[in-house]
Amino acid sequence: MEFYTLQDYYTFTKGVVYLIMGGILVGATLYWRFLMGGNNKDD
Amino acid sequence: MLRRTFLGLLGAAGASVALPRSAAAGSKKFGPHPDTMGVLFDATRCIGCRKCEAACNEVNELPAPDRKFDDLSVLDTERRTDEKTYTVVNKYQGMNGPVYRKAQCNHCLEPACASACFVRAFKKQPNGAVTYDASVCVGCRYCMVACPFSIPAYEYGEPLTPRVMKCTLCAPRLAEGKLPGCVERCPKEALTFGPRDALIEIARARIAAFPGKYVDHIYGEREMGGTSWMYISGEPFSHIGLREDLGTASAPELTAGALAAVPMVVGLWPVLLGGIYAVSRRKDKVANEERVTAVKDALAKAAAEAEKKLHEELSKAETAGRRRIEVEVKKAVEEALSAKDEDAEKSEEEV
Amino acid sequence: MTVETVTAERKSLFTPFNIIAAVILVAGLVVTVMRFTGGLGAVTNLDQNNPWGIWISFDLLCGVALAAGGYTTSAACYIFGLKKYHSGVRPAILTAFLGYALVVFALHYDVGRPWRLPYPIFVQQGTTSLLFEVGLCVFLYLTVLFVEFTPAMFEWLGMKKIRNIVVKGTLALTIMGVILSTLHQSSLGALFSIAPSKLHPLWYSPYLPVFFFVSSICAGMSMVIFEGTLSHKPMHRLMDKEYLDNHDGLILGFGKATSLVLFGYFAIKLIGLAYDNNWHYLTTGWGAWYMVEMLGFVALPSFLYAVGVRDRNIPLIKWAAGLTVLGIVVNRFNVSLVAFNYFLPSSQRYFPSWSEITISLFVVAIGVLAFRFITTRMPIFHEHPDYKDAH
Repeated sequence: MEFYTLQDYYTFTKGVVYLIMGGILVGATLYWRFLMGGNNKDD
Repeated sequence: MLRRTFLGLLGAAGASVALPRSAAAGSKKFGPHPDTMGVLFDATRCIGCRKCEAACNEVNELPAPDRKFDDLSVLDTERRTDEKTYTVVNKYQGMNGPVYRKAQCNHCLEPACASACFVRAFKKQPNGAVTYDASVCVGCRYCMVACPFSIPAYEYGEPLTPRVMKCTLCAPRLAEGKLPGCVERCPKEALTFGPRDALIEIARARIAAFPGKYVDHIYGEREMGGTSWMYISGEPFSHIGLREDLGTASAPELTAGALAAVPMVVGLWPVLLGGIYAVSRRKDKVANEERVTAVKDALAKAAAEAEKKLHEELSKAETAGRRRIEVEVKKAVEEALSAKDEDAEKSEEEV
Repeated sequence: MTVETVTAERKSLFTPFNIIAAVILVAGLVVTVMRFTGGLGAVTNLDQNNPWGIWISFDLLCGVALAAGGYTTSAACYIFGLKKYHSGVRPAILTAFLGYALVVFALHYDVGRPWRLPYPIFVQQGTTSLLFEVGLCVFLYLTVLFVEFTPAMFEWLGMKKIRNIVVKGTLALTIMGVILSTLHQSSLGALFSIAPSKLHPLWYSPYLPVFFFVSSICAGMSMVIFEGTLSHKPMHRLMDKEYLDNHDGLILGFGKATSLVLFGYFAIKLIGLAYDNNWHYLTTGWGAWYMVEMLGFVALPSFLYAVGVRDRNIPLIKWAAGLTVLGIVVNRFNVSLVAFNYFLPSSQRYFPSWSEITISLFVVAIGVLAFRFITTRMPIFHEHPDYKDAH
């Protein structure tokens, strides 16, 4: 993909980053549950 | 004050993250599209006839003005573009008589309006025009806040369908192979339309050919990252209503730092906040356990103390009893002895 | 109905509060009709040079900053583990939810085509815009606040099961709320980072996003104290023992925290001044006004808070809270109106019209009425008897 303006380039990269941010929020929740959900009773 | 950067202070844990210094996006550079056209305005040629204003009004089918375009007394007050006027010519007092300068959208290479728009209503086209799409516009007017040249205008009189109005570089006419309306109509060739690179060459040539006539600067070559519409003048640009304090950083560069901090917050805040939560819960738990053991200890200690006390009391009592006996014995002995002594003394006295 | 009861009801309705509220509501409805028939030009003093007026400065910028009590209080209680502030969470969440709902409501007056407000999220995303970031976060955070508020509603409606499901997600919702608040509070400041040429250098800074975020923490906590003071008298009968017992503790704790954060805010503002080498502006008229803001509305309340906390002087802390709230309003107005377009001649500067002020009052009045409606019905200032010690 070729960009002629910084504006178009950022529109693309920020768009991707926004999607990743959504993924991170979901992923962090799931990972937290995985991390805290173990069998060890003393944290 | 040229490059505005924002150092994200992602600081609760003392972690600070330095963000990209400029928005040149690493080593990447984004030149204008090779087809970028533009217009060069030469202030030494403009005579303030307002023919360009009339042409603009016609080709864009804008509403008729309050005062006719051949009424030059309009020039006595400084004007700006508005919802009925894409371009205005203003008169300024120069060193050798009046100087005129045409104002309209400068069609930035990196438009602030496009960077600011949250529905991408503005677009820098490959041919250089910055176009506006009213079909998605919400009417938030952030583009007007962002534009360093104060060009976009708003239809404040429209209750439900207001649009943002500004020069289109006659993009529809360019598509038909025609010149922008104002350029075509200008009688003094104060406006030159062409590829942007070529315009810069022309401007340099003119400045070089008449060194005393021009200020040695092409306004718009670099201002705010460069514009498609450029100006050369015999007067300092600030004297003809063009701000010289805008800097060369383009709009996307100005906001790049703040935008770069956003994903960092999303990535690190769950870690930081989750960590604080876990620590505080752990502390609660430890405190709770400590409280429990403390109570247990206290009970045990109390019991032990009670026992000890009892013991002490007992032993004290014992000692006391013993001492009392001792004292009694001693007393009895002493009494007995003293009685004997007395007897002896008596007998001595008696002797 | 007999004549006597009718007059009795009338008497009870015509309290000074109700009369003022009714006048504002009627005036607001009149301006609403004017706005949607005549356009912004008919009711506002906005013009081509001044596209944003008090509907942005007050209703949006101040509204969002002062609604920051929601995320600060819930973070203090659920993330930092300060359980003693638990009774303060619900009033703060409700205030925040209403605040954000009213921000969005007020935007319907300000933007040209309000039914297109979902466009940036669902139709065409302008990802390079700070306003896109603000819009997305406000939309998501309003949703989060609504969900955080629903347990009170479900308790009121007796919907036990769904209430318990929502309560289980408290931690996730709180963290989500803090993330979204960090983002949009700071982005509101970053909105102006695109216009260095229009904002006076004393208020323009590359640190604008950090300034807005940190000051929003002060605004939020001060607002919790301030708002608690306001609702204490009229709502007293609704407050349970836990709320009343913990109230002074909350004021002292929040007062101490706000004092410290204000100190930090003053420090980073100073750094901003040095970063751009703006010292020489301090001797100008703008500099005097800047000093008033920094000394009178940041340093002074910080100090008053500290003295109040040291002496356990609750009234002084409340005054400091009021001063901080006022200071945030001053700051947001300075950035978005007073120092914006500072270079224009005074004849081209903006001053709000009566209609604009009316709509701003209208929005506040709706907020107060909604707050009263909800707190008198739902378990906000007290715990629902069925859920005592459920936390």
